Amino acid sequence: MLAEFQTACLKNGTSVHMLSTQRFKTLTVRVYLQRRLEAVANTRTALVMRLLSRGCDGWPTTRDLTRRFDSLYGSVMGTGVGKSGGLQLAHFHLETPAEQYLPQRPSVGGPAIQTLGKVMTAPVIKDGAFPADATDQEVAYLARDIRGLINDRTRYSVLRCTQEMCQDGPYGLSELGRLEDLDSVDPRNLYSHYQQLMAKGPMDVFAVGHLPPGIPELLAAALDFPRDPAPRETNHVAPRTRAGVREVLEELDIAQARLCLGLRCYVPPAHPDYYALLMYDGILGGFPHSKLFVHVREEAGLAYDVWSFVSAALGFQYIVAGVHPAHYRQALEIIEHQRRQLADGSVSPHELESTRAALISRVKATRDSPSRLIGAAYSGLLTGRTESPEEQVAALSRVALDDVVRVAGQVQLDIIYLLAPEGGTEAASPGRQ
Amino acid sequence: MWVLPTPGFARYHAALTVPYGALDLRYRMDGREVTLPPGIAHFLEHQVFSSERGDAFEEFARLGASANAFTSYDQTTYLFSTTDRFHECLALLLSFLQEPAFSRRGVEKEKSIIEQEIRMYDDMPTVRGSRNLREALYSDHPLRYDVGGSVDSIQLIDADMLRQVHDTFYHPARMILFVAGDLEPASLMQHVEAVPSRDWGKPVTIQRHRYVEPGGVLRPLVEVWLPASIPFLQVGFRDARLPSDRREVARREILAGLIHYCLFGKTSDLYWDLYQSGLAGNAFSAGYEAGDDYGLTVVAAETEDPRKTADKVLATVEAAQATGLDEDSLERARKKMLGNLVSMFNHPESVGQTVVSQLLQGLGPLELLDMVAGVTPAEANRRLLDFMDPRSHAVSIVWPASPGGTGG
Repeated sequence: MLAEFQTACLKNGTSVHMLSTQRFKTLTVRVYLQRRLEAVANTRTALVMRLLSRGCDGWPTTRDLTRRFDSLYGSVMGTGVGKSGGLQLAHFHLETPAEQYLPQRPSVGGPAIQTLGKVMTAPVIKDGAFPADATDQEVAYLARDIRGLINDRTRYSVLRCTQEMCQDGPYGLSELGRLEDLDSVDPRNLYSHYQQLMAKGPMDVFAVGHLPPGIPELLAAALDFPRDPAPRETNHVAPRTRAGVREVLEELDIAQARLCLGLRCYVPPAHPDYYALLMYDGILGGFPHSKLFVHVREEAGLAYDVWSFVSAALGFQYIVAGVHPAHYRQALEIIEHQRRQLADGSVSPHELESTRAALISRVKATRDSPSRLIGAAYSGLLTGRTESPEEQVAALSRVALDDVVRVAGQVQLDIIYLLAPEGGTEAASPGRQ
Repeated sequence: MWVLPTPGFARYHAALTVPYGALDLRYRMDGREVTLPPGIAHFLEHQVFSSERGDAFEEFARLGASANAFTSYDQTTYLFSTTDRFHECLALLLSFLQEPAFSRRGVEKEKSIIEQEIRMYDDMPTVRGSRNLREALYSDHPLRYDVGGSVDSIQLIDADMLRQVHDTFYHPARMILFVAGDLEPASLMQHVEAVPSRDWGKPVTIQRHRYVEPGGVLRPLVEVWLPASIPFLQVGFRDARLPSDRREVARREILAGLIHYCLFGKTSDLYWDLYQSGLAGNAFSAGYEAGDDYGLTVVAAETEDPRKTADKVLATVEAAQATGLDEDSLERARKKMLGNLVSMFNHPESVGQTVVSQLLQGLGPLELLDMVAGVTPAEANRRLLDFMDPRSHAVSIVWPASPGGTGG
């Protein structure tokens, strides 16, 4: 995907990837800072990214900043953190409507980029520290978000399942950080964490859409501050520390149980079997025509939602489902039976070709959305897979059933995680093989 | 049929909208009164796409497309997107909507699937809080019910009922087809005409029941306890006066968006005050739903002190109604809305949803832009007095049942 972008390098080592097109009615800019996912630091990075949206030189409060971007015809600026395998990704996002479609063609993109530059390089700092009141507020809000992870039952079950799979590694950490790390932060150490975050590590900038004239100069003026782009970290597949399947039951007073299976695929993103892995996952649970949807939901009527997805960076597959607590064993048995069927090569031409068509369709549509374009290009940078959509289509077209079966045969179930009401299901027996 | 050409895009989108939604539970037809159980529109949506002659999702998948369907208060929409074999997919969509099968066995199986869906939503604090609020605000109006109905109400649905509703409302003359893609509108028309159609006859005239709610509310405050990490608040205000026609509903929706920005938006005095006192995080929003016989504003927040926040919301509405809107905010709101309407064209499916709901309200497809550009402060201030009636407001709170949950 990256090949579609024109890449320029700023003096400070930052790569700027640009794609000019009239297809979109917007200008989208995204800045990624990449860090290794580590306890304590992950919490501080999450906090710093919140504090940077609290104001900057010229617009000293969140309210001033929001007014600024709203006046630029609803331009949207946001900061945040994400996660890819063992990496924490801090990002800045900017989207502005294309000037030529607005009344009297106002200047929007340039001023918005300048303001983004201020947000990144000139936060509100007094005596070498972030403002104490803003820090206190953001600590409280971040704590609330971390506690709030449980409100999204599906996402929570996936995070908990990952933690159980990676008890010895950083991969199970949330990009939001940990509550226990919040006690040790203060306005001063957060400021020095900010300085480090800005000064070190890879930084990538993407700009897609209606690029205003002189965009490289605009971006350089906003973002060419002194820094040292240390070499890019790469993801490693987290090693497995024990054999056998472990069941983890967590109780919560809910009506519907959330099931999350964690599986290991042993196919790193750069492996030749990567596209076979995508096909395997798609046939099993990626789509409404997939085995899990058809057999667990449509035929047995046991679940409203049941699907699978792959974390390419970690080499994990997850199978998630919402089931009636009393039916969870039955649902699990059908899921396991369908996995065995796939590994035995029992795949209909319809399942194989529908999955191929859906995956190909998804790849082709990458060019339809600025955020998908940027996401695909950036994940290509992280995983080393830089194929164009056409090359990806060709690779998917070449995957044969034998390849899918080979991958299916090496996938291993690791964790069965169940979030269920107290006593609503027969107890999950620990240590089931 | 409406077409949005999107040169350079790989994906095609098509959405077929039936003007039949969750609120359509009572109407007159051929001189007789029809009353239906809550959740029937949503049930019909499920049934149409899991027709016994083959599951729709599978058939679309066979063509490399992905299909979906959703039911809202006033419409049911069936859609697909694909990068290949668009015309075949379109023919499939049109045929699925024409001849669904309703067997007893199929309907019973669907009940168990929908029951799981209802239970999943019941566990969500936001969904439960929203239903409690609507039950407090409305005594008779079907806004009281969830779109999917309840586990009990769907038991009352049978195959005959579904067939009858389908015959009445799924008449091609009532439907709106929206298509977006890198294609020629003229040739598309030919493809649509070529799809065989059963003989539908003339559509029957329907008179929807117009509900009249008494002033005031049933209960000023509803509270419930669920596992969550933080209290969830919803404050609802019914409109003081009902719209005179469908076009006015559209105009109200625009004005509601602008007024809500001024009173509850991220740059408002209220939000900033709440944010600094730790009472509002990212989850603070205001929304508006309106139709012929209802208009409802809901302010929703995750907040540690829901009672205090609710008081502040009410005080904000009363103060604005006494003094009028801040004109700088209103101008910013208008710029933001115009910019958002431009950015929306990155998402053909969003354009489709917007255009179709405009059409259902009797507007031209892009009349919205002119409406937004033409709003004056005087009009916004007049409207402010018409909607968000403090005498018809209620508060719904979902309290965390176990402090902090087990997260982190």
